[in-house]
Amino acid sequence: MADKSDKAGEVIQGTLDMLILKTLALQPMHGYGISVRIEQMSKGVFKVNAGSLFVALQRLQRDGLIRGEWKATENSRRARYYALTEPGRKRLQSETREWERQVTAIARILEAS
Amino acid sequence: MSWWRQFSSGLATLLRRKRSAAELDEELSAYLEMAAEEKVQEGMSAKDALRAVRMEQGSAETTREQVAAAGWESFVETLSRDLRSGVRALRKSRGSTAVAVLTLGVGIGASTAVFSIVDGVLLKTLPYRSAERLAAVWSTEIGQPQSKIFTCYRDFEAFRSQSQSFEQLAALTWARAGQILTRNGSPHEVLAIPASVEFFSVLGARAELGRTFGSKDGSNACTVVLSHSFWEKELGGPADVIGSPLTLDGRACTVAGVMNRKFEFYPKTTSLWVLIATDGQFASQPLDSVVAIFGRLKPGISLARAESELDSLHQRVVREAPPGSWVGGVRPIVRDLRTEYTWLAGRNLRRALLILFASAGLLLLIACLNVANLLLGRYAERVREIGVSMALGSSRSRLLRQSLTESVVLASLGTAVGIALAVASVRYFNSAALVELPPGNSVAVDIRVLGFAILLTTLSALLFGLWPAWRASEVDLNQALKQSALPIARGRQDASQWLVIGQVALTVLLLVGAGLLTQSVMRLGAEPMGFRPQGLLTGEVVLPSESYRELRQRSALYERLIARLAALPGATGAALSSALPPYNGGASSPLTIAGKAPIEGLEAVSTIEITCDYFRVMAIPRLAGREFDSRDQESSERVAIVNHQFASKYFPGASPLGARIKLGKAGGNAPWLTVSGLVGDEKRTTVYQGRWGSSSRRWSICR
Repeated sequence: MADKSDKAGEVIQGTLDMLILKTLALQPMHGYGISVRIEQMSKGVFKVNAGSLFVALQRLQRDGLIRGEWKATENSRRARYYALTEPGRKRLQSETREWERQVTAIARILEAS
Repeated sequence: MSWWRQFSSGLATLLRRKRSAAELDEELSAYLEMAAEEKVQEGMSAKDALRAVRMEQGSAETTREQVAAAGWESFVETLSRDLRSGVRALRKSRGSTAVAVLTLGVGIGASTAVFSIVDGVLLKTLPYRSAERLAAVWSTEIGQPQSKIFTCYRDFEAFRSQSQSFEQLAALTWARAGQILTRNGSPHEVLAIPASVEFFSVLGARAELGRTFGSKDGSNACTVVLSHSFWEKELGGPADVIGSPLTLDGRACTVAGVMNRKFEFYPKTTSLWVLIATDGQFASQPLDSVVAIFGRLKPGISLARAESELDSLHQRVVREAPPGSWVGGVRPIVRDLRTEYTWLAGRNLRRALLILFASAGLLLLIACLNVANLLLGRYAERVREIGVSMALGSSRSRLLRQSLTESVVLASLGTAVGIALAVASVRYFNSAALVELPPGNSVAVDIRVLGFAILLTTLSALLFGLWPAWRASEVDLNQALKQSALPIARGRQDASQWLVIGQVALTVLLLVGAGLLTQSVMRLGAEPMGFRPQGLLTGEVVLPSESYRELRQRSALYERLIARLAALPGATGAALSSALPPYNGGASSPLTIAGKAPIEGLEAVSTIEITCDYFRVMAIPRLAGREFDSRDQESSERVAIVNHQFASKYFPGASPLGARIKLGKAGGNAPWLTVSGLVGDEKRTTVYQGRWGSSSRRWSICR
């Protein structure tokens, strides 16, 4: 969840993983593209920094949820493109479901008082 | 989590460090460039764009470090780096490292070895069936509470058949000289121990070949069971030994079995066990034959209860015995067999081992303090170095980790030395047989103690490796760099002082103890023996009793033997004695002196038989009267020679010459002897009592 305090844009670790998976579900892309896309989709709320992003990417790769390979970009520069794997797709579905469950519950609590 | 993928990916990064790093770099720089490009498109200059990107995203270096730290392989890398730097640091101060390692090693090794010995000798249960319920039965003289003597066979028969406290009782005796065993014509000198039929089954011991004593063996003339070492070493391990005939002191015996290699009982040098036959000497003279008794108590019966039961059985025996019999003067006592073993091996063995154990414990403590002090000292020197490291960005946890690694390396080296020392010491101890240990378990390195010692020293190494690093990293960096780190130094000095004080105190304690013991040993060695041992050669002769049953036969042999020995070139004389000092005490007997009050005690005097030249050969001074000479033949008046101790105990202030004494109770039929000579004392130990025996001599033969 975003914290609109001075730590603006910091994303909690587990959430970041989920956002990356979602981004890659739409299409495979390289590291910078992912961070741009997340910023875009969240309308500037989430700003991912390189450190957290690459740590998350390594983690997701080691868990077998995404797969990376070197390809040429549009500007014929070499970049590492990441794509979702089958287990990654399944994980995204289950994470999304769980997330929605949690959000609904919290919203209910907040509205109750 | 895919463990395999985690593992292999980390491993790949470790092994192909350069390539992985290069790949990541490439990816990162591409990322940053793309970010910068976007900023340029928004209107920034190229330089500003790069700077902005770096500020937002963090530099490539920090990112790289973040990614690297996230994987497990970084831990391994740091560990190996710390290990290497730890070893380097240790190698730099080689001297103090060596001392610390040696101290640790000696502390661990010595305490482990000593405790293993103590455990094997004093603590471990005997390797027999239900060993915790095994008890020894002695007799003690009423009025002499320290005495422990064999019990009469009649008592054993009563105990065996009527005792409710014991599951099973057995008897054996070792109060006998060597015998000659002949097999296939070749003679061997053996220690043959008469034992009752239950002997092996009380201990739960099985034979390796053949069988142990069985109830049917009682009707045979003579049944024996061989010890494994005798069978293997003296006889050559023949497979056909079971049932084969042999003669023991002229008697025909059959071999029922051979014991297995590990079986041992007191005395350790037993060659074979002979069954006490139902029609033998023990059964026909049960009041005069004595044995050592041991047995297995029934579960839940205490030693005290068994003792009182045996006492009441013993009273019945006393009532049925002829009046004035010696059995009326003794009472049975029951003791734990384990403690008796140790006592048999050496009356001070238990105490000596415990002292040794305490000393080893102190040594371990000193070792820990020493290492602690060394480590403290080492860190004080490196305070400035620590300050610099911290200024350069080393985190505190990193510093602590480094010092931890160094301490662990030190502790491991010390432990390795300690284990090697412990194993070598125990092996040496077993092979050199420095102390006559009671039969039972062999001594082996005890894992628990080793583990404890290692734990203790490792803890102290860690504690005293970490603590100064902790303190040092707390300090204000400025102060550390500018001044010579006074606050730390003071703290270290305090702790260091206490450590040194502690060490010195313990060391002095150990040194004083060792000094006193050494002094005692030296004094023992320097004490005058009463005879001159220089140039004295001794030997032992065992005669087969069938050829030498008559005194006449033995005398003839002894005369020839002495003549031949005295004629050897370089010999100034030869003599024979039934017991040589200092380890043999002679035969104990009661004493009656004509005209004096009866003397209490079954062992008032110990007696030795000698040939004429004995005193001259041993250089024992004659103080009064005369020695045995050709006047003393078998037919003439019986005389005895007494020593100074005897005279001062029984004839204080007067001369014993001419007194008439008897080696037996007043009413008994021992012959009267006239004291004809007085000689100086020899130093002797008596094996069972530990008192110096006052001794007298009885003539045996004289030319």
